[in-house]
Amino acid sequence: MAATFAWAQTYGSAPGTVASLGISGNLFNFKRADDATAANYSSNPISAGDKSYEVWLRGKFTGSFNKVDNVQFWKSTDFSPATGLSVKWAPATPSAYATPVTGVNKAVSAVPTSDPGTANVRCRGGLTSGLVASGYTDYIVLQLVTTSAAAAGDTSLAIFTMNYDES
Amino acid sequence: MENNKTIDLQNRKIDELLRKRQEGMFNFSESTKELIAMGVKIGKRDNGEITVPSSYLPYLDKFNESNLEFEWLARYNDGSILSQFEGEIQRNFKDIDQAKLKSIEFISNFSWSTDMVEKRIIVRLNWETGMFEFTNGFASQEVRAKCCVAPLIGDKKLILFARKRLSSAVGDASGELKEFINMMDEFFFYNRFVLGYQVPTGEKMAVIIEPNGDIKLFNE
Repeated sequence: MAATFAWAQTYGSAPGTVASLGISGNLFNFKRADDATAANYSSNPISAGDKSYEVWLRGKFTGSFNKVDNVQFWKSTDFSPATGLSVKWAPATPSAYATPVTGVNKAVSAVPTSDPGTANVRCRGGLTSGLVASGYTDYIVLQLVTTSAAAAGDTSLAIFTMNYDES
Repeated sequence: MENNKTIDLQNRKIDELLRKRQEGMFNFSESTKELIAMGVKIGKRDNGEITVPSSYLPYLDKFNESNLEFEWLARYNDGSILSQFEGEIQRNFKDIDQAKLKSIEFISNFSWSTDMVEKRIIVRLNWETGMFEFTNGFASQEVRAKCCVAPLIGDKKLILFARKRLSSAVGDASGELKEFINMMDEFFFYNRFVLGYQVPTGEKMAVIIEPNGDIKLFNE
């Protein structure tokens, strides 16, 4: 019962490059660039009415554990103000990576805004499969969708939460 | 003197901003206090500091690498003990031999300043009787009534896992805003530990141990 968790982002043309983001602080930003750094969002802004590049995230678990399952993901707090901003995700949490785009692709539903109660992130293709050895969850694909009402400048903060059981 | 509309409006605006600011500071302080009391750890990436109740500060350096507040310890009926952590060895659920189990307990993952060496038992599940003992955990009468009086009948299957929650902030604020308060660098984690058993009818008797030592019924 001592798995080590870290966020991982895959970016670039499929099969993509995997980058470990760690767990703390501002891990990524939505922007018009497909890379794995939070730093350059201001030079790759999203115009009001446009979408960001998709961000393809996974939970990475390493270390000694029996099973990791019941993986849940939701948005704990929204941007404030959130006018003209919404974060979409792919509720099917795909297991296969596809090159991120700025159009409508995988991220078609609003991210849950409260604890979903049951697993909503797949592992090895299933909601109950879990991980029994070091590895990744399936993909959590996020995309910031804006409208023309979105204010110029930085978005402020949104807090995303990952919850899982470990035995 | 004559009233001046512009000056009045300015005063109202200043009052409104002062109110907002004061509310913000109050809400920030109050919510932080409540989060910490629940056992939520607030981490800051820039300096590695973790905000915990002040009474926990002496134990921070004794947390294991997973920042687990409690660890399990299984006692077998031959007198031997299996610990979750033993030096470099880390064990997990599948290492526990349920057929030999006498009791299983969650203990604090650090020494207490009052005795310097003791790892306190928070909860013990007597595997032979199916009853819980809340040695140093804070269990309500409701929990005690459910878990310390009448065990579930039948062969027991162990329930033992940690539910871990990690929240990270995404986004940023403009430089002018960050001048006043840097809220960009925080992350929040919260562990809960579940111990109990299930019998063939599907009934469960299990408790949640919160990181602050509070015990709740696990009622999933």
